[in-house]
Amino acid sequence: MININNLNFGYSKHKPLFKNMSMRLSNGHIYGLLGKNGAGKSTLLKNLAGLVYAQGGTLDVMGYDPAKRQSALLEQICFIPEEFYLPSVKMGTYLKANAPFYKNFDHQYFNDLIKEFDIPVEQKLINMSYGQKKKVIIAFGLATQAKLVIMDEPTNGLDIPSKAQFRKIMASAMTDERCIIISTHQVRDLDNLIDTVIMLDENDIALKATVQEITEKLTFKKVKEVDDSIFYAEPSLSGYNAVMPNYHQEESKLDMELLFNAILAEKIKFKPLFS
Amino acid sequence: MEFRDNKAIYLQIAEYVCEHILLGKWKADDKVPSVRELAIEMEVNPNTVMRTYELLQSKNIINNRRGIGFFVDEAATEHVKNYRKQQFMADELPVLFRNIYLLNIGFDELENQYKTFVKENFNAKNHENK
Amino acid sequence: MNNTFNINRFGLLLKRQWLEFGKIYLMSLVVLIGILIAFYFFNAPDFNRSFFYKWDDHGHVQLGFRLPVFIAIGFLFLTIQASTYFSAFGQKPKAIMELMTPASVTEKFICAILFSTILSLISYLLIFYIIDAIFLNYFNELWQHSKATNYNTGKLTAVSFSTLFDDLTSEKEFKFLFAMPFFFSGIFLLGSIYFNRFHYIKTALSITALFSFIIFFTIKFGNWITAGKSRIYTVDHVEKDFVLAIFFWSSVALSLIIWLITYVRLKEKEV
Repeated sequence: MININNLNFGYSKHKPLFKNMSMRLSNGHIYGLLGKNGAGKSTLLKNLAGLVYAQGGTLDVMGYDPAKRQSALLEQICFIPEEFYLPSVKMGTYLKANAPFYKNFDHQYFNDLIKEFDIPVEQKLINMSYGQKKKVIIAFGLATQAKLVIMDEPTNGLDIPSKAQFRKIMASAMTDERCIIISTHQVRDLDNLIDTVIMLDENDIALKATVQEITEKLTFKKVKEVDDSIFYAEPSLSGYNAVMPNYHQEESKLDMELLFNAILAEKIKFKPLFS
Repeated sequence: MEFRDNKAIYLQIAEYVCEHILLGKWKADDKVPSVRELAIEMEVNPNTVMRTYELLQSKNIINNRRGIGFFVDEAATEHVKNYRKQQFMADELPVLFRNIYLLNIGFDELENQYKTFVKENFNAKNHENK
Repeated sequence: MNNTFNINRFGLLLKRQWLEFGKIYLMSLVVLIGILIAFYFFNAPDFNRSFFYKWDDHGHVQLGFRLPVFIAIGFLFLTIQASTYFSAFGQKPKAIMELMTPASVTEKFICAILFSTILSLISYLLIFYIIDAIFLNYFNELWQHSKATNYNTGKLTAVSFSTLFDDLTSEKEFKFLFAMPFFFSGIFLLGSIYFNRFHYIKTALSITALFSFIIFFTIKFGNWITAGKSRIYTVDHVEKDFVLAIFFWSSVALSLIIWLITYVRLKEKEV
């Protein structure tokens, strides 16, 4: 679905964000894009959507070059940015103006989502709260039936019940034809939804692996003491939360936050396991 | 569903399904929720549920009828018990043994404790069933 | 489906932009009507001061305020409309929504020209024409039986007024200015996508600076080329027409070039 080949990009010449980055993403997955602030999560998403242009290398999204901004590709992309704008109209007008661009737009599904999210239909979009607006564009984006769903920090601004609704909706939105990419800081909101982790660090991909691969190779558990077999550990109430190679084929639960910190701190130790 | 921290999600979902079968909520030959339905209910990735179902299939707890969906196996209860026993032996028994050893608890003492426990918790139920 | 231009999609785009900008656009038209009526109202010809009237070659009394108002208000209206069109591209969240709308760059560009330039120009001319016609009708009725001395002919003539468009079409020179609205509108449209904030003032400053430079350069160049040479006055009509034609065609060419640059800017816009 997506093929990134030697991507080079930076907002200024002296500070490149990506250096010769290559990656393949396929449909039927929910990718979780992780990285520190400024690692380039949003920028990578923008590259995929054709909002910024690669400065070197090639991008192939469903057979199109996103930089050409062809409408055939645009109607297959649902892009939910972190900051967005909705005009000063009611939902009906917004739908009338925007939905016809998407041939497969599912009005019934949109109405279902709006009902599930409990959004007032008669209110002007611009007067809604940030969370409500976000839910509107998520509902709209998913109802377009776009094959590529890109979400930048989708759970930001959602209250606790909305986050659960969001997880349910994303679980149902995931189909074999769809590729869903979600960038997030709040890993705990989404960690059971993500099946493949992509971590950006130091101008490149520090890790790209499925949850299954990760838990086959690594084990996450609580230990009392730290010894040499442990790659990385963080103190907790009852000892340490630790990451270590999975010597005994244990089936532990992936602790994404711990993994994230572990890779940032001990990149070299993990390299040989995932290559 | 609240997931615990120490076990892979797909195994926790497997436990959930097994629990439903043991409690008789899902009976033999019943259709179990589709991958999608269960994924939505659990708020997890459908691929995770798929992995659960593959595991349960390999344990003959559920079976896949092509084009229709997954169904509870005729002998599911028995297979669940086998599976749970295996798991108990592999995962929980070593921990138990370790504590028994460390705390120096005699088998006689254990047997007594065990019998009282069964009497208090399960005897009433067993009579009902009979 | 054609990726460059599809009439169906273009129609959807027009509808989308109208639903988004239509209300504000109509409001701006109301303001325009108000301003124009005010100008006509406060500049209505006063019969008692007929002495000061200017008469044109066709025996009509001229309304001196009309042409400057037509040009100044027209300039402001067109440039403001053009300048606001792409202002959305200056704000990241809005620009993302615009760029992600599934329509081609060509469609978005033509839509921009249509809304910002063509529609504004047509509605301006129409509004001006109607207001002008209504007021002239009223003036002519008021002065129906009045006569005043036409200072061109020295005869006592019935007072009547002609519409601005009669005036404009009767003067040959005005034809050569037809590309000017497109030129200025184009510049401000470009400015609105080029600058992220304060498009109008920045564009106005840039254009002033550019023209000052061009005028300065022309004068210097003219002085240099004619230095030490004596002047001969042989301006005949053919030559004047030729100069005007050059002026016309170069303004057409410049407008097209500016549109082309705008198109490229739109295509290359990153957020």
